[in-house]
Amino acid sequence: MLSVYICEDQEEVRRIQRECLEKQIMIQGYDMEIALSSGCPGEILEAVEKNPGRGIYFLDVELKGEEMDGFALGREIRRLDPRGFIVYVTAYGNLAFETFRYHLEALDYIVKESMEKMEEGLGRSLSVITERMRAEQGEHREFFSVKVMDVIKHVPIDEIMFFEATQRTHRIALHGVNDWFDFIGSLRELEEQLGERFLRTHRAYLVNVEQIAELDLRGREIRMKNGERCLFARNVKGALLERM
Amino acid sequence: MSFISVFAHNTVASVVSLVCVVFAGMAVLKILPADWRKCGLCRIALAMVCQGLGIFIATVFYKQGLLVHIFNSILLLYLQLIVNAFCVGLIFREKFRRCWGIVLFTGIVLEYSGTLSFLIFTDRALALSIPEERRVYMLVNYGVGPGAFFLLLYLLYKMKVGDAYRRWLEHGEFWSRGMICLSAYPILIYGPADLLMGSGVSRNVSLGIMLLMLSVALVLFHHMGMEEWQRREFASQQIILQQQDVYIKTLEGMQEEMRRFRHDYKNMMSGLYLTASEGELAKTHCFIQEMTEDFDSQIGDRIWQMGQLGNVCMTEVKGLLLTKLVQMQRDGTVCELEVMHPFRGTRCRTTDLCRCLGILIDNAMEEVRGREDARVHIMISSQEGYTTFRVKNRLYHTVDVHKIWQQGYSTKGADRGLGLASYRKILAGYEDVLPATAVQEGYFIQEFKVREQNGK
Repeated sequence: MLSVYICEDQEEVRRIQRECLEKQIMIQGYDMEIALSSGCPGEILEAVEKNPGRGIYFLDVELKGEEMDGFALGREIRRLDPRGFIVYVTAYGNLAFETFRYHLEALDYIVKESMEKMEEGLGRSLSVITERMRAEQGEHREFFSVKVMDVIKHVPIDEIMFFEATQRTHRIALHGVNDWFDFIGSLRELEEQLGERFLRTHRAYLVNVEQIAELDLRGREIRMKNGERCLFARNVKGALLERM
Repeated sequence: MSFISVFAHNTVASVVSLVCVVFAGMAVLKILPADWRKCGLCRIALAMVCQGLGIFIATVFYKQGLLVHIFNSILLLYLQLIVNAFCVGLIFREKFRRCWGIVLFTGIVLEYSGTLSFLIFTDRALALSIPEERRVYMLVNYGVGPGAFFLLLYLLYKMKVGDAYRRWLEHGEFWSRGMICLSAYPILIYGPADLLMGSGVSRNVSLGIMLLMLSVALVLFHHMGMEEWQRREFASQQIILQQQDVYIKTLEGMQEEMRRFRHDYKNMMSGLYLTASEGELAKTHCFIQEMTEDFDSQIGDRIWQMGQLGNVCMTEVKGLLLTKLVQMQRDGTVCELEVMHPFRGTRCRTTDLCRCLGILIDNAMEEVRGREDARVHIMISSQEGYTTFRVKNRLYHTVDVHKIWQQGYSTKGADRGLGLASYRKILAGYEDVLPATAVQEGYFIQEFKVREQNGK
């Protein structure tokens, strides 16, 4: 069962949110319960700490009279519950939502300009969360997660072509189907972390064997399924042919 | 001296000069990567073969007595420069023109350090067949000379001459003109020096005069470069002033709209008062909603946008964003700008930052221009010691993420896509900047993150 937390400084709005969510949970039969609704971010954090697990969080962006605003609260919640669902509730239509989504992986935001719109937004969020949980249960895709400065990026392992050691020390470039980014790391550690699916074909390359399209044995080049090319060392040729 | 011993001497001299070139290219000019892992043994072997060939030719020249003619000495010097540039290009997979720039820079510094060392130790050309003179030659050539070279290089490094030279190398328009002048340095030193010596002036005085002339030429050259640089700085400041002018006009326009809205607002409030007095709750509710929406669409959105822009405390970046916002407004593109926390500065050089951000925004603008619901999203997020610059737009073409960095690759036709190649090149010069590209749910996202001084 998923715990639902509400953090809203206006008592009246908090009451309405709680009632609305309870109604939705009951009517739709969602496997959720309201764990706490409070105007104090500290209380929410304490409750989340005491009750670890995946939760749903409806957070007000502007928390008047509190040390923490909604963004800071979201960041703390993310530390305690990396997979939880965070939804922001705001009085203003224009919220820097991309920033919230980028840093906190926030799911959605609801504008509390009218009761109807807020109720509709709360219902929509619960429905999206349920859909997402259902999709996750059916999926057995493995992800490669890596910290890139202040954010963590997740890339499906089957979408990674290869890792390349760049000209800068300790900087690795991930070449994927839909991603290409640099991060700090070492090929040796990645080799240990990713196991047999990846082969160290060259000092500068760690290749996803399943993504290899063909080998150019004379030029000692590997052509990947997306058309990218990388190198392989002479002594890896045997292992490469065997694995393919 | 036998052919073998001359060959051995030349080999040591060539290796020393190549090491000097590589060192200068890595440490002072910072053009060559300090990472040897991708050099490849085959390329190193091929470079060695080229060096061997150069050394062989130099040995033949010496043994045949061809170096008596100054023309042949200069020719041999050019041969060594070309071989060095070719070898560096081969080993580090760099373009010849960049390697030629490194070789010339190193050559001039070597020329200074070497000639000055010889001027101190001897007043005439040394005869290498005499063991005593050969020892002096070796001491100066392989001991004092390289020592003076590294000292001079250190001074240049401290004076940031290397950085200025690299910037200059990256400017294609100055390159050709200036590089032709610099390439002539062997002729400029040895040609006139030989003429002076021919007319009875001592070797040291002739070389001294020529070094002095070369110094004057280099100072003039530097001065001209600085003038050009200042001219460009002035032009960019003019652009900033124009951008600020646009900013002020935008704020004035907003104030005018506020004034107009204040007038309408009074009328609206009277209407609302009447509706409320008649007890029509639904109508009143509807009225308030309309009024809020009107405010948002008329000024609220612009206040929000200006508020976000106000969080950008770097004038140059603010100017760039404002120019792009005005362009997008003209194109009918909606720009969603998010700068949640004040952005005061970053470790990237301002010109590099503006170029990179400009390239990303231009690309996004071009992709969505003329489309229905054209929208570009820009985020600058500065917190916890990191700054993220992120530009996002809807994709209307299929994009090969791995191809976009190739020079000339573009979804919009031939001879385009130069921007992203230079974007990548600029960022590659920074240790603490990580670029990222992604295609997600039909959007194209480009970002670069900077670890600031206090970052973890």
